[in-house]
Amino acid sequence: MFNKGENKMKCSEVNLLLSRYQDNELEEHSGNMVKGHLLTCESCRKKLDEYNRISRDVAGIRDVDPKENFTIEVMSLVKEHKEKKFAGKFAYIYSFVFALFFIFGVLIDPYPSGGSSEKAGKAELSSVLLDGQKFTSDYNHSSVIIELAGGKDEKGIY
Amino acid sequence: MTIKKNGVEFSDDDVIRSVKNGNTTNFEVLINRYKNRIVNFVYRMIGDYDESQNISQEVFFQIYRKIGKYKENNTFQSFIYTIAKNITLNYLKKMNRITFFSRLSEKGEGEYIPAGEVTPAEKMQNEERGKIVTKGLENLIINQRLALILKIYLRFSYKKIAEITGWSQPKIETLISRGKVNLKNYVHLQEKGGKDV
Repeated sequence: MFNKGENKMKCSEVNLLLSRYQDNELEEHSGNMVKGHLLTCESCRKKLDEYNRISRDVAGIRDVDPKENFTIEVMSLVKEHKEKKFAGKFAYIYSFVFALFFIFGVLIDPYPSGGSSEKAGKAELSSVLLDGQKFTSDYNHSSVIIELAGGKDEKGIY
Repeated sequence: MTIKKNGVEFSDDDVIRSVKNGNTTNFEVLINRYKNRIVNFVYRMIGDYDESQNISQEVFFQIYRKIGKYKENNTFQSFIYTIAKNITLNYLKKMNRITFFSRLSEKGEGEYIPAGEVTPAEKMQNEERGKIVTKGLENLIINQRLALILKIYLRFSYKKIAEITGWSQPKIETLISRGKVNLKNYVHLQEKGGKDV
């Protein structure tokens, strides 16, 4: 970028590095070369002075204070957020528990009240009833036969 | 940054670890440690005292919300100024602010405070110059303004500015250098009785 060998820099070369030099961002070697040039060049020294002054001006703008309740107000936002987050977690737990009840209470109903399980239940019940009726009917029928025959209960014979 | 309590030093990372472990009240330590610098950073960027307070509070709230993402490697300053920069730039984009210091100038704030004792005449001259400088900052493009504030006001290195902004170092160098030149030219022009550029 500049004449490294001669250890001398032109004003145009210094101009490119002057801002970085002022910001203390140049490597040691380049910094020393700029410094060497500034010792002998009034024009570049003047530019550096202008940079320094502008930096002082910007740094010198008066600070403002945070408002009185700054910290309290932020902490109240933080607290509110934490509480919402906490409540949110409970909402998840409640939803989960509700979902479990729903699944076990409705979808896997131990006392079915509808659908195929109901049909199965009814079929079982009617089969029991039919068996009972058949038994009663058979019993009555045999009793009638015995009575008509004027004898004893056939069951006793068998 | 560290703070002493009962002779023990607590770094930012110590405090953050404690906040992450559920001691939310310790977040107050971080607010008190950084609120002045954040408020003044935002204030210099947007030029409105009331808004700078609101935005700074939002910055701290977002820092709390995102604190879980912060990795302990002593770059907490980069972490908080990145959040502050993002929220401030979003605000500026939203408001489409070009004349950011106008209200500040009307209120007579943003005065320049010179170092050392000065005569009344010098004081008046300095105050006048301070107003010109703040107006000059107003006229810079946002990125030049941001780069100058990070470098000159907060005294961050180019490396740290790169961490905060995501810009390359050559870009930072160019923005700062051009910012200084533009500001210098503006102040010269105003001091010679020129008009706004």
